[in-house]
Amino acid sequence: MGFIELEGISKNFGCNTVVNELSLSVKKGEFVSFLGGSGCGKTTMLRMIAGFETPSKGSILINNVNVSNIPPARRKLGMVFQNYALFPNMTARKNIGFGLRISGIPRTETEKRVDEMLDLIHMTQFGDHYPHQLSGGQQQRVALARAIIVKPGALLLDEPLSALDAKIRIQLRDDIRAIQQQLGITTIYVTHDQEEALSISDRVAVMREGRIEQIGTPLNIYNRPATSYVASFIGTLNMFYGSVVDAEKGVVTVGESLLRTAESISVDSGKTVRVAIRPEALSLFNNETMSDANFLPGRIETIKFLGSTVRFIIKFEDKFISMDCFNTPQFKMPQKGEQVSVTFSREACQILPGDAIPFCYHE
Amino acid sequence: MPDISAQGRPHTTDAGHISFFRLYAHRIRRQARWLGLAPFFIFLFAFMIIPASSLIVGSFQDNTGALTFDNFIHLLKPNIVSSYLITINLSATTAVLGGLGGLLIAYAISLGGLPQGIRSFVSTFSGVASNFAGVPLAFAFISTLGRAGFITVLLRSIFGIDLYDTGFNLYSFWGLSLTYIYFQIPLMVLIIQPALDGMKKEWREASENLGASAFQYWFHVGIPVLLPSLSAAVILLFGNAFGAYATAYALTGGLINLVPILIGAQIRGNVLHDPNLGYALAFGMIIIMTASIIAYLWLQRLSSRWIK
Amino acid sequence: MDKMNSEKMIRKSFSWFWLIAGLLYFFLPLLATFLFSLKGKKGVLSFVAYQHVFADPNFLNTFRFSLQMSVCTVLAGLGIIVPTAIWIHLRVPKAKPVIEFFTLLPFVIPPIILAFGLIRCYAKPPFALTTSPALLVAGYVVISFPYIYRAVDAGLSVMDLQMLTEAAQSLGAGWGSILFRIILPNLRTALLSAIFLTFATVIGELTLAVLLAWPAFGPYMAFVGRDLAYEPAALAILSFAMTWGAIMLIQIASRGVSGSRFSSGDIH
Repeated sequence: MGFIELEGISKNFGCNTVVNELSLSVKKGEFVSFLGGSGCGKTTMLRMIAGFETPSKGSILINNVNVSNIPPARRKLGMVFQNYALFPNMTARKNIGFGLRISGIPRTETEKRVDEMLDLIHMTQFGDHYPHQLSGGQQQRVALARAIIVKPGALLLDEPLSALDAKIRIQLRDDIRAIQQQLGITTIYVTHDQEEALSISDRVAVMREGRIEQIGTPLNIYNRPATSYVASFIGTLNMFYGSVVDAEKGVVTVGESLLRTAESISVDSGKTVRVAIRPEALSLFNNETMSDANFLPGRIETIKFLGSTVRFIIKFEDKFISMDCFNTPQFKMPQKGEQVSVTFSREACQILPGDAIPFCYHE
Repeated sequence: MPDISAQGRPHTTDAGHISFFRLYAHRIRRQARWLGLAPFFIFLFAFMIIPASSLIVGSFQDNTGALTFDNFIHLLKPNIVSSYLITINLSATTAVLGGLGGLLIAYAISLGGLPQGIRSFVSTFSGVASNFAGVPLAFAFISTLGRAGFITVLLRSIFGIDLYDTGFNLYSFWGLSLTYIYFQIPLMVLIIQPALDGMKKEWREASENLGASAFQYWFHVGIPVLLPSLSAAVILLFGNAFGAYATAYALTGGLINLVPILIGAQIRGNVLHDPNLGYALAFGMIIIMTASIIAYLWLQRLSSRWIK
Repeated sequence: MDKMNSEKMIRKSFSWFWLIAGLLYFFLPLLATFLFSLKGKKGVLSFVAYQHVFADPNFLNTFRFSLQMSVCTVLAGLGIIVPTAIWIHLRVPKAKPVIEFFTLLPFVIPPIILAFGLIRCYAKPPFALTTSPALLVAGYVVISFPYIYRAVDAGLSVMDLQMLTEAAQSLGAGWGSILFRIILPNLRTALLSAIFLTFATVIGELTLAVLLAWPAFGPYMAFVGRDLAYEPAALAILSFAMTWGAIMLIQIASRGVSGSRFSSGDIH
């Protein structure tokens, strides 16, 4: 039994279903992210756990207690909001100590714990600043301290970093993870940023249209996407329509090229599937290439220099494929217009069911 | 002659005097832009600032134009002191009551979860009603609560209650207050609405999340955050009532000893015959209005830091 | 059902309660005044009071006078404030806080003080203006200056004047065509709301008119109120309807213009 149990949760606003029969079990001390685009129901789900919305169906259990009818004030969960939501009339200290003050903890005790918190978030010298005197990143640190000082059963974060600059975002992201690990607090994190979700979480739940499309470790989600939606949502991906030639041996055709996969395909021969290949799994043909790898002949159309990596857009037949190479000193940069042979291992070639919605993700 | 100002750059590294000259020309050109505002300021000074200042000057003069402080000593006459007290009392009463009523209605339409249509209706109506001051408003209350007013008659004929026997009088302090509140409430709705809209719902949620009750939220967060805007708005209402002439004039015909009525009577020359005392009365009013606008601006600045 | 919903219910019924109490307070006098205005003839409800009002030549004369004054006020007010506001936005943005400070002054100097000051300054030579309606109009312009300025300023703020004029100049437009073909058409909504608000204020204005002794509509109403019973009620209803009409016109103007802008954007 997990620490937080979501059992068949649905939420309708009018005739609009925002969360649809969602179930999930979160272990004590685990860090789980809800990842998805806007309108996928991730924030609504978080707000139902916090108690700001009531589920239309299903139940929420926290530590084996059904909290569905317990008001937010008595759920003992810490919440961090996207826009910080610091009380503007209170200093950082007062904000952090709010939860303790209203529950009648003695003043000296409160002050001591606030000091500890300020230390934990590296803001000792900012205790007497008002929110409007703090930067966005500092405000969010204070908000985090305010949420965890009351020792909540779980920490809920609703896109806490999306209003911040890129650099601060990464730093604060690492700090959140470090504090979470230090306190061992069960955490649910909502974000639309895949890099954020992958880098911070124990498990990631990719959400779409009110359901969990796939849940797994970041590694799993990235390397073994279960659906083409997950595959396309996470990272850059080359995706092609292909048809199965030999399901048993794992052979498909994409256009006129024959590709082999590492495992047998669960779709019947002759059926249409999608073939997904990560750009970083591709390389240029050289003598070290394994003989049983896949090959695609093509012509370099565009070269994008991205710093540590170089992205090539290569045309083969009437399709385009992206390839990422590391910019190492040994790397011999091919020229635009050059004819090349792209190679990738059997493992890199992933087969996904061919959905009815025709779409091709290509950057 | 070449146009120096056109090529004037402030930071040329030529010989000192040329650079200084160019800097100066540039400044002149920039200052000249303010001249474009001259017609506006001339108008404003001619028809607002100078006339108002002349009253202040006049309040320090006697009939011959010599400097005197007698006018201010006359302000201490019991009837004038009492008129200031009544006016302050009326303005404060209607500002507080109207402010409270306006706050409750603004709260109802912004945070109370009422349908959107009601909100826009109330906003429009507030625009109308806050402009519906003066003579017509006085007539409306006379027709409603005057001695022969509709509700007075209705109460008498149906319930046998005579409002005027219970001590109520439309032409008294409370009658006037009731009438003033009619334009104070909608004005309050219009002023305080933006402040209420600036209250983030996340503040409420964050405080609930930390275990606070609704009362604790309002006590620790809601009211402290609103307080500067609330007091600023009430001060504005106070000034609004203090300067109101038309409603009081039409309703009481000058029976109640209010400062604006006194000043009006002074202008028309039918009660007092000392114009310089009139100027001192006006000066007193300007001081009270200035004090309230300064307090208003200060509180506004305080609250704009919090509510954006 | 549960506690959360009951709390929401409490908040909602609290809101409804105060809303309804407010509506009663605001509409009861209006309804009572309306019914009172219909009692002009004994025993029956009739519009006789309204007939009396319209038949009174003074009604028409004073109303016409106030209408003329409002037209003059609108023209003079816009004539002074629109160029000033445009100039501030284009050339002296630093002046903005200064002007905003001056928009607060009519609050410190209410009409009663203004009238007093105007009389003191302009009753005797060299500026004997009290016999000219121009002084009344000047006073009205001062009173309505905050509304007009704020409306025009709001209109200018949303359209990025600097960029628009630079774009127009780069396309070869002169100042005349910039003003009449770009700025003013975009200001239409702001100007309309300034105009209607000024009308609503000036038409029934009492203080300045009565103290400067002009036969305007405001003093006329006050005069009627002294002697008659039902006609004042009819006048109150009429002026409420006029104020409401002016505010509704502002709303329609702002909606209509933004609507047409949207549809013309669709065509391009």
